[in-house]
Amino acid sequence: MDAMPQRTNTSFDDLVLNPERRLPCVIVADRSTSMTGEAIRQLNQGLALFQRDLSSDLVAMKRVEVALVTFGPVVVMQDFATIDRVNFPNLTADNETPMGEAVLRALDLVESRKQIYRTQGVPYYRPWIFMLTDGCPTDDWHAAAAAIAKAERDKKVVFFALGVEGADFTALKQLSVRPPLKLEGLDYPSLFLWLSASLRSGSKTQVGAAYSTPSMPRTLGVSST
Amino acid sequence: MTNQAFTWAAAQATGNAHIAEALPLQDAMAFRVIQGADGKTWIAAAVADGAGSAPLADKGARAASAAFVGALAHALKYIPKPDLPRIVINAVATARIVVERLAHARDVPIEHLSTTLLGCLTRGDETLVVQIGDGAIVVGPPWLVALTPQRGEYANTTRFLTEPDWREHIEVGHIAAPIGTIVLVTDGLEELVVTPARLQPHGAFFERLRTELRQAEPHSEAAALSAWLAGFLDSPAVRSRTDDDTSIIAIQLEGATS
Repeated sequence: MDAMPQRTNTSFDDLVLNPERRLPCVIVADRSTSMTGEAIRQLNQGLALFQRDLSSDLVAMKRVEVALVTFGPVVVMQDFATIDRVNFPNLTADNETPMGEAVLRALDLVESRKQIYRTQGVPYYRPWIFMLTDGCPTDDWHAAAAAIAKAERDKKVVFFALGVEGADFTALKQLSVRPPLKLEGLDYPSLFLWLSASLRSGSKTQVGAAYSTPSMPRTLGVSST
Repeated sequence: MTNQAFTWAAAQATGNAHIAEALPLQDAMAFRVIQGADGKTWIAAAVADGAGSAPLADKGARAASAAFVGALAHALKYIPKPDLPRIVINAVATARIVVERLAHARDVPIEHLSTTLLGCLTRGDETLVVQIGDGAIVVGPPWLVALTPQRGEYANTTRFLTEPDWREHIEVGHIAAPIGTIVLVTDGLEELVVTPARLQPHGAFFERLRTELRQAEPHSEAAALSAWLAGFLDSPAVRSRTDDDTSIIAIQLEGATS
């Protein structure tokens, strides 16, 4: 394997011991300086709640694999693992908002994970990439937008962008094929409960069922822009 | 070997997701004992899994499975020396035509009746298996998955009898050797009884089916096994692992010459 991620606790062994079909999901989270204080605290709480909630579903626990990419400096904080093997670090706010680079890294992670599923013969669902931000991209994100558009066209991933107050929704609209979602306030915990519920239901999608994308959480203070 | 003895068992369950959404059972099964013009006893069986996204999937699945075994019965009754692969593929074509006509009669596109189709035709010493889409046909012992189904990239995409290029996705197998047991399962049950990574059937499960089938009265349904299977499909062990409809037909042919 390539020497990419800082925390690799997945392995081929996991796929041998647990050959259940997989639903891979990358969370791409903004932890730039503007997230300092309450925002980063809520984000950490949200991630912890997300892990707890997903763990309550025994089928999803075997099928959903989560990876975490953060920016400030783009770091793979957690490579793909089922939720019982995930170890989210306590995130701190730092640095700029290289959103484009983070998205490209998430796309790479997804493609290499698919490759491993294929060599191991483990069936999988279309991967989800879920990006959260409160700011404006500080790098050139147009290459990322083109890569996302192509990946969506080829049905390689489902990409969601979610912005909180202060996010650059003009950029998000160009980055994401789907309309970006807007989170009112800083209610990351509710947001992550919704993501968990969507993954739980997505991990049991039947053959022939229309591809399940997370439904819009009208009640959670998230709105479509 | 003009009168192959046999026993069978079958069960179905409506998946959690269908119950939650008040959808009907979208799997279907068909089974027929046929006295052939060749003087032999044949068994035709089919299971079909209607697509969750198709509004009339239950009707498509029922029509396809019934038309498949019906066409086989008709062909064997009138053709003393049947070309077996040919009549099996023609039976799939008949199933496709019947579903198409049903769509036409209801004035809906055929995709509204989207369904997979898995079938077998056997007299014990010679068996044909055919499959479009997910699900598994297991024969044994030793336990093997008879056909490798064509799949899409993702776990929830498959091929359907109702697609325009359905002919390109038919998988057919001709087993010109005696088999003991043949089991057809729809996709809902497939991953529970066959390890997906290696297409390896779970021996203990199939051994149990075989043992029970062999104890049943010849030429009849192993009613106790059917009841056990119905309970198994409805059990938390199965329901916690699949939200989909589940169907199984198991046929025992061995040891049966007269």
